[in-house]
Amino acid sequence: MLSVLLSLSLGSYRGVGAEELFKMLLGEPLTPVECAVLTRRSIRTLAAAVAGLGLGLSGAGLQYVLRNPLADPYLLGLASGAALGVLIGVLIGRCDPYSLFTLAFAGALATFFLVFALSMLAGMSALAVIVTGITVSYVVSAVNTVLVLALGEKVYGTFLWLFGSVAYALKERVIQSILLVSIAGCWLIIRSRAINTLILGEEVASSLGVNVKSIRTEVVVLSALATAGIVAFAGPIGFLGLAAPWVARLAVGSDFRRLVLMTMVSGPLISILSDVVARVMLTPQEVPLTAVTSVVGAPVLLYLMIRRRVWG
Amino acid sequence: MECPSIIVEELAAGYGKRLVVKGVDFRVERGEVLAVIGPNGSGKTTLLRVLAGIIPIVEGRVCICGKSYKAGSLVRAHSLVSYAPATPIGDPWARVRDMLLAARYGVSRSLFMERDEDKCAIEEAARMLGIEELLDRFFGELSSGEKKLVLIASAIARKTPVVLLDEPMAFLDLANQSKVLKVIRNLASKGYIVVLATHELHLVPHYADKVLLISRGVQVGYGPLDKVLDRRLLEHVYGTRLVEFTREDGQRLFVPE
Repeated sequence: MLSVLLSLSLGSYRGVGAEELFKMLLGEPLTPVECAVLTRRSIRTLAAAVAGLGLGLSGAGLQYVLRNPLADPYLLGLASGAALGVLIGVLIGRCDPYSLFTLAFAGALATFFLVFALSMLAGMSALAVIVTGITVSYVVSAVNTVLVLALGEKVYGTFLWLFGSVAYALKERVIQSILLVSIAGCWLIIRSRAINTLILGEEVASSLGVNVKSIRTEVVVLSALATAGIVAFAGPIGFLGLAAPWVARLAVGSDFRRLVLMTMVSGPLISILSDVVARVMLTPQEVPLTAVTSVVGAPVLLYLMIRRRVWG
Repeated sequence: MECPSIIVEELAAGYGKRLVVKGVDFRVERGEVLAVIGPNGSGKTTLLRVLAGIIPIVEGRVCICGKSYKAGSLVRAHSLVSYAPATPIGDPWARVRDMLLAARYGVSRSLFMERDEDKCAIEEAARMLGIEELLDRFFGELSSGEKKLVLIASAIARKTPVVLLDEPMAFLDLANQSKVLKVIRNLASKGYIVVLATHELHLVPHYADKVLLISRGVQVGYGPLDKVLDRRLLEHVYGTRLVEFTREDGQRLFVPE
């Protein structure tokens, strides 16, 4: 709640702050400018919340079904693949939300399979999968950068989107995403007890009657759906999918049922706060969201890798 | 729920087109312990995986607790059978308590979260294996032996009438081996069926009622201990010379020369 209020009251337009926000909450009339600014900020806050929720849930699911504590839609290349799909859509002039979303989804799945095929060659260890994911991500991001430069103003008029930002999120796409993220979230909750058995390893989970292959496919497809929807309005945001589930896990432990509920709190919280930082850090200039989420995500990643080495 | 028997007839199974076990035939009754022995790679684990419903039956028939499963199908008796694999793998970040609770999947009567009866079951299993103090530790911090005990406990916490243990003595020190021995005998005395794969031939007489000897996937011996635990047969199957001891009670034991 506090983070939402903070997010609504801070921004580059200094004329609207906490005072105007309270005026609105108390039902007092606002000037058209104040109203416009607050509407824009609320869309932005909603966008950040949806992005944090969707990416956090995707990360949580992927970490369990791939049995890889470092899994995250960004680090596995899903996000950059989705972004490539969106750019291809713009390139071929199919800018309606459904074509863009379908292309983003196809891009996310395609990069995911590429990452998996390549990590099989690299030995399938948790670290090998992530290193392959980051490598593929970099190559795809490079292609994306070139595409944005070639397309120029056509693409959201800005480079900001390419590094993840909810600053220019379109309302329709955010709403489309809410639906997708809710489907993914509900499905994860329904399946959370089965997913939870994977903490005992795949062998034991299968002996308990869990169809590990099918649950893995479900989670990968749902994560690609959620990520594609989010990338379509916010671009590839880094580390949220890694940091949110880990913050939740450190708070409530490794039981997936509790973890998935807690991620629904930690994900939006981290992304809304990151977005507030992103817009006030260099006002009136916007900072890409990934630049802020990295500050939270990178230490988590390092801590996990060091801890893993200690445990062997 | 009680389980009168496991009957396996002409069983063949494997991975893809490669058959790892062929023509396995045995029968275990309520309260009996069957020890599956044989060299590395002979198909012991594959056999247990079929019974655990992880890989399908390729040929033959398996009958567990009165339900029959035919060739081409998975033994879907997950709520009657528990399985502890040989290598102790699990999420290093999970607490032992959460792992044991997760194992109650399919046997717990609640829909989403476990109830008090599930908590009682896991505490009882932890007590049997002496790992109560590990319940709040991370799985990743434990030694291999402790991890092994956790997996055995998670199988026992399910309280299913059939328990499958793959190399239950691996990684364990002498005191823990003796603890697991007692647990196996205790389960059998309560009417459970225990099927286990093992390399510790000298321990087999302590708990087993029957022995199944397989070599390269083929059954070469099955029956009571004194029939299968024969020095010449074992030397032939394992391809190494063995020394035979006779215990005070007349039981024969074998160790490598």
